[in-house]
Amino acid sequence: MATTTLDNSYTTYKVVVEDDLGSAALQNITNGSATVYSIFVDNTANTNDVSVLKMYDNLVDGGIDVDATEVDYQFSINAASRRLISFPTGLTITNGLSLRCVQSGALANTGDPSSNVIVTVVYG
Amino acid sequence: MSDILKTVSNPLGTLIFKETTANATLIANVFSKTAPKLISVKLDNSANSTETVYLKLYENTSATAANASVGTTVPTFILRCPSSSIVEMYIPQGLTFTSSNYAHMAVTTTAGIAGTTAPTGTVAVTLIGS
Repeated sequence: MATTTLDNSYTTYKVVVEDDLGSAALQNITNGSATVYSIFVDNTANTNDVSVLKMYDNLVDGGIDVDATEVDYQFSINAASRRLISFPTGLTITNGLSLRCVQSGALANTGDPSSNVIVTVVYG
Repeated sequence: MSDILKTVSNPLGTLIFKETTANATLIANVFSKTAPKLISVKLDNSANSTETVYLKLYENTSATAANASVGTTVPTFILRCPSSSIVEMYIPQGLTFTSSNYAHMAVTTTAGIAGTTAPTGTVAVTLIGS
């Protein structure tokens, strides 16, 4: 799991790229309130498995718990595919954005996708 | 209930579904087909000044959403919208539902899977798909 962050030293927006969101959650990547403009999910490495992107706008003590914290946003990305999810007018994050990819949308599911899921978030 | 399902010539999405008073009652088979592709969503909570709402899309093999229940069935898709706000999203390649499944929708005031409470204010949902 490696996270690359492009802060707003050079641009008015910020970018976070996580090369394996299926192995652990990214906690509060926006460090508070923000506006998300796009999310790119690359699930091509999982040739047989759907990956479910769960997103949370919730600052739970100790961080969100993927099998206990109810999601605010959830998107299923088909096997062997990549999808751009754009928010043309912005998606308002109030508390802080946390993310995780798992094998299914069930609350108790903590199963890691078999292969890496690459997720890119553009926000400001 | 004032649903609209139109066929349009736009190649990005040939189906438009609109529900102007969305609530926690499941609306079955919103695109009137199996394996729909969801391309765009507008969740309009601007007339509801008191509650955050959650659009939830479900899928199963029943066109009547048999055995699907708001509050217990795991949604395929969840989108939050704060009070007095509108959220719009666009997926150029679309989110495709499973080949033999139909898409169903509801709007509640609770995040995640649980919750069957309908918004007290007016919530409109527009879905563009194919």
